[in-house]
Amino acid sequence: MSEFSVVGRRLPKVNSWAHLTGTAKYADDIALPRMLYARLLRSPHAHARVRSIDTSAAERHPGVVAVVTGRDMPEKMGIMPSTQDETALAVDRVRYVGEAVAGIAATSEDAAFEALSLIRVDYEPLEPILTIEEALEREDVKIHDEAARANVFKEVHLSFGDLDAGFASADHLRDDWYFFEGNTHAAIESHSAVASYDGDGKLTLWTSTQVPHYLHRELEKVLGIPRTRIRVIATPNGGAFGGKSDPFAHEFAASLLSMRTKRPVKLTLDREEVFYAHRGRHPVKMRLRAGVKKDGEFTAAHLQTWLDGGAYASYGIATTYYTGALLTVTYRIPAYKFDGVRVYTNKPPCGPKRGHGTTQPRWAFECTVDKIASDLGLDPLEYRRYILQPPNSRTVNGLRITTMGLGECLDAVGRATGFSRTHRKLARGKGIGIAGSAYISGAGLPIYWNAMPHSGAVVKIDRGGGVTVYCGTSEIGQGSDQMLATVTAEALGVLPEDVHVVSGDTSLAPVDLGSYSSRVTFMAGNATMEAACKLRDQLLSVAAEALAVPVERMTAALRRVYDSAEPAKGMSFVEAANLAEARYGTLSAAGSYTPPKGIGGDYKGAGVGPTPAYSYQAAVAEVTVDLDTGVLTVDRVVTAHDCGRALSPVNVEGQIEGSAYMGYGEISGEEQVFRGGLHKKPSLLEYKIPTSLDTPKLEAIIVETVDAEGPFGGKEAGEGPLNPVIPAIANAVFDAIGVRFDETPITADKVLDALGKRDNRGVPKDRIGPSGLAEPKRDPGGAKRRLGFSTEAREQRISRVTGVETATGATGPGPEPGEPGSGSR
Amino acid sequence: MTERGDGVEGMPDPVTKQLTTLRVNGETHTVAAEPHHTLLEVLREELGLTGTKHGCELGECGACTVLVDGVPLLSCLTLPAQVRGMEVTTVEGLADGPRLHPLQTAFAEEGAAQCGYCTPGMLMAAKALLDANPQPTLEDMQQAIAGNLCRCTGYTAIYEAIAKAASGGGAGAQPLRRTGAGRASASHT
Amino acid sequence: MFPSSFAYHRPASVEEAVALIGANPDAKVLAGGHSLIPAMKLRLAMPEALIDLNRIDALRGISVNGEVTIGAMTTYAQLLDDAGLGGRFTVIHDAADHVGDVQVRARGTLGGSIAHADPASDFTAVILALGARVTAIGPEGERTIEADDLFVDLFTTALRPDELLTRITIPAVAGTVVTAYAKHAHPASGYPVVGIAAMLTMEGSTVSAARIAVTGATSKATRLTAAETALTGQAADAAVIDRAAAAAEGLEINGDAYASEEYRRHLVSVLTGRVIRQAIARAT
Repeated sequence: MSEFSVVGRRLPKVNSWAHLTGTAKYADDIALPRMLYARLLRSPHAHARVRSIDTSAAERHPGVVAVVTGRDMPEKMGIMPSTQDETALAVDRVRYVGEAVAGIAATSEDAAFEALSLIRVDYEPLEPILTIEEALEREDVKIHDEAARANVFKEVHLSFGDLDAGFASADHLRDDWYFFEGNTHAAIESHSAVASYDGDGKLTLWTSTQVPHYLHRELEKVLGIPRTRIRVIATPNGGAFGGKSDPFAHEFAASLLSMRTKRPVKLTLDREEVFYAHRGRHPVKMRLRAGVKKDGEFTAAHLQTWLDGGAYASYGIATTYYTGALLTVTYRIPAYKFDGVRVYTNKPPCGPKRGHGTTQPRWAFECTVDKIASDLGLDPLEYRRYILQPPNSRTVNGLRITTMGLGECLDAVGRATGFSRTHRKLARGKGIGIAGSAYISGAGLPIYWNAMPHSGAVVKIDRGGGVTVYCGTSEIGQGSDQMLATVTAEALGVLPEDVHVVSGDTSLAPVDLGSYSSRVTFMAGNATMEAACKLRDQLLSVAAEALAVPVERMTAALRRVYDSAEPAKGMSFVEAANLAEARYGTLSAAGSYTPPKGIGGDYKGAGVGPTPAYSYQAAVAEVTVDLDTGVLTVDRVVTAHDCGRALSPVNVEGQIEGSAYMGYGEISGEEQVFRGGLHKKPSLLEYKIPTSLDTPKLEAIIVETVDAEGPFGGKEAGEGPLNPVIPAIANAVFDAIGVRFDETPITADKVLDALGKRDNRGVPKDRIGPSGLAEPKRDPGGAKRRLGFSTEAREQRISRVTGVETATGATGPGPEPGEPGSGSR
Repeated sequence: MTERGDGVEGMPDPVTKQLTTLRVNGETHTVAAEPHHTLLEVLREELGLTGTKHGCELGECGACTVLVDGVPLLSCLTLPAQVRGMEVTTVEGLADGPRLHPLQTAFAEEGAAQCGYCTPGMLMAAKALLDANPQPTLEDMQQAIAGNLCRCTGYTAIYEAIAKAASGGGAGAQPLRRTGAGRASASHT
Repeated sequence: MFPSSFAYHRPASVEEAVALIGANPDAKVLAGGHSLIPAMKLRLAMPEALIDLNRIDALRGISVNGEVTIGAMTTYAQLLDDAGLGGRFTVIHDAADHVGDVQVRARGTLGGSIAHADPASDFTAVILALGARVTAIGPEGERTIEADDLFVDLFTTALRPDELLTRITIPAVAGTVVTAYAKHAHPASGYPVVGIAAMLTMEGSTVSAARIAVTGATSKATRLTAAETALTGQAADAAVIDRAAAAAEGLEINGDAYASEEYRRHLVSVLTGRVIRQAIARAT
């Protein structure tokens, strides 16, 4: 029998009833008396100076109540205090198609929408920078004047151990280029916020956000009212995946419009706008050099990354570091060099998506590991097992490793699939691949420098035995409310259903930094445990005294407080709580969590990478490639994940499966791509989200390592399991057709190209991918054509969908009739 | 261009709401709604039934799925006038009074709702499936929910839940999910 | 997100509908609405009036009596549920099964799809392969249009603006007739990047007549006459099928962001081969 009464049990989530009966209130479900509806006007240009904005005609529209523009909120803001380069609405420059320039609040959504077309913006188009290579070179076109070199946002150079000696002592060298295409979160709920500025001068913002605390700070800065008068309530997020962890234009616009009108204002993005809000996966070009001995033991690795950051910073400084920091935590690497560059381009800003910055290099690295195994004739599973970074160790870049279950994960997926028996033995067109990975249980540092805890929780017990936990975490579907209830219930000896969770509210709950970097279970879990255990001690001590049992023998479980040696001897939880309240006064306790010191290095840049505990994962993918059409079918993905201890196994399995699903989507076709600065796929008809018919059979295996510092031994589960799935599929495709896909996604078109069949004349290739940085284009005429195209293409797209007429301007390619419009279904 | 009524130049006049009588979740409601608003807006804004969700509003995601005379339809592409005289069922009408529908119970137990946003539409699609086919195969389930995008679960837990509801709560449910090694453990502490 | 405002008409009869169409030149006809309503929400279409055909029962239904007549407002779900559409009409089930999802099939109509003439519609190729004809009614009365003459261009048919498509008729064909549909779907939208429909008349193992049509690859659904010629009068062995598949490539094909012209051309050939094999397999 388990030592726990709640932890590890398969219980429904405490918030599932609301989800399942339609009563959960997401931001867009909120309706307040006298509420106005707002919409944002967005830039049609990838890069332009804003000469002037004339809102007078919009203001005369009978339904319009207020209009705001960038000049009303010129304060610089951004999620990372060190790189604040955004304004709430564009002030004098727009830097991507879809950037918000003005907001309108009206009595109806129809009126707000109609009035958008009455705002006159005078733009002076500028040449857009659209590729990494152009951004690196073009000093003459600066997206941000502050950039020191061309359009470089951030450059990082780190070196550990003796790299030259490492490469010199290698028996075998690899030098591979990779490109990971950008993609986006595409949560089913579009971003939404409702702001209400009351007569007493207080602003409440209900918003679908992962980071209510950080947003609280930015609202104060941009709106110019003290945080004491602002309350942010994170509504249940209808999916987030990192896409709701920046402060957004619509949140500021709704707030200011409410302040101006003294009425509640709702602003919900439509689906197309969500593609512009973005902050998703960075496109990253990579070069990875690796040196190994004959047995595959690494002697050195050198990773270079070039990140296409889009128009603004977002979390970019962290993303840049993350592309390099975690490469060392899975396998022994004695010498390691990392060079990272993030550039600005005129596209929607990239930011954190599930696996933040680690997904792209992990894919590249695990492909390289697979190539090494292949070069040296080693079994890819056994090889990975052989080079594992040991538990309770330090990496060459100073990261502290504690529990490390990668070996068990590899074994588990190997057993479940018979990997080593099957690999390299399948018929052409069928393949099996494996990969490993790691992730963090929360970042070791907050995004703004402070010495305060990363997470705080308050637990209180009422006289009827009800328990309430208050914590600033944001419930984004990952199950954080359930985690808070589970930890509280286990510690106090009640059931999760007895626990009322108050989360994501900056006025009611202590600060938790937010639901990002997979930090909540570890950090908020520990804070909650500390708070609950303080009350548990009070309950046990009064009960011990009343029952005349030594306090060390007392325990609490399943709504009883009792003698563990003689379980019949005890009292109900309510009785114990009432005794404790009589003795100690009101039963309320606070807990907090700060990561330990010394878990990373002490060099500049050592702040990104450390975490109190790494999670580990492995995946095996089985694929079928249609040799005639190039269609890749992923038949099965088995993912094992070391989550420390699974506090809520149903949730952990759900996170593993959901991560595997998302990884599958990223490699099989999801891409956030642009032509002339114009998004090519800003709808769900064009941007592929895997359906039930596409998704492989997903199997989840929980590996438990019981981390000494985690709450009841728990670590993260929300992001890591995405990472091994992408390289496992790429490696399986190699097993199937002998082609290395060193770029994502793997589309049917590319597969056929590799097979030499696309045009029935081609030559088969053994690899698809970049071979270096491309020569930057130095053709002002071309740039002008591209610029013209960004507006032209939009019109074309419109006419194509309506089928009314087809523009064939000389500046753009011809019509594309087969492209999906809103055609006949 | 001329000024029209109290409107603004070049803009249509505000639209007068029209009365529409709808049968929703067994109740008859007469609502005043703009005729160009879809059933989705009428349910959410006029009847306060916000369980039915906006996802893409263009018929691509299935979050707005409701049953009309038992058939799953996209409420974002349906005009209220088109369902006059028909029975509309939303997620709020799924439970039988205080008794949850077996699908709701099974979704909770299997963790088939993570963020919960696709869930109302998913439940309606699943109900239509089970009403027509009480013992669906995995392929039947995949077909039935192919129009309902879920970004959280990878659909696995949803199949588990539908299978569980189909078998009446567990006993005969075919486990789809954990076939392999179950839980492994290790200790490095 | 809403459409712009419009007047809503819900005629009870075909005659009433035709009169409304005549009286409202800026009106759009609403069938399933799964193309029109999104276009209206995106303000790509802003009709002043909608004429909703959903109340006209006479436009719904399938009758199989030697030839098959399908009402324009018959939904994909009804096509799928109709057991009478087996045998040589199996291609209809093949294609309906490929359209959208449960929700779309419950609402989307055969007539709406054909009249819309989306270059990436499944059924335009199907009715071409089946040698169907459509009946339209206008102020001057009824007329029929052969499928071969129906599709003019991208989103353009031979229907006049004041005409209403009322039914689709698939003529009876003597002999052993087999059909099939093969499709490479766009991963996100599910529309055919290339869809091929085929109807073959078999005499033993010889193909005595062939109608094969492509959708998705060209600006309108188009007969693959070269492939038809390569098959007709031949014993359908592997070499003949390969020749027919290769012959299918010779037409003007469009490329787009998802699939280049050369990739589509390749798919046309691969799927033509597949669809022929699939159809022939049904003859035995």
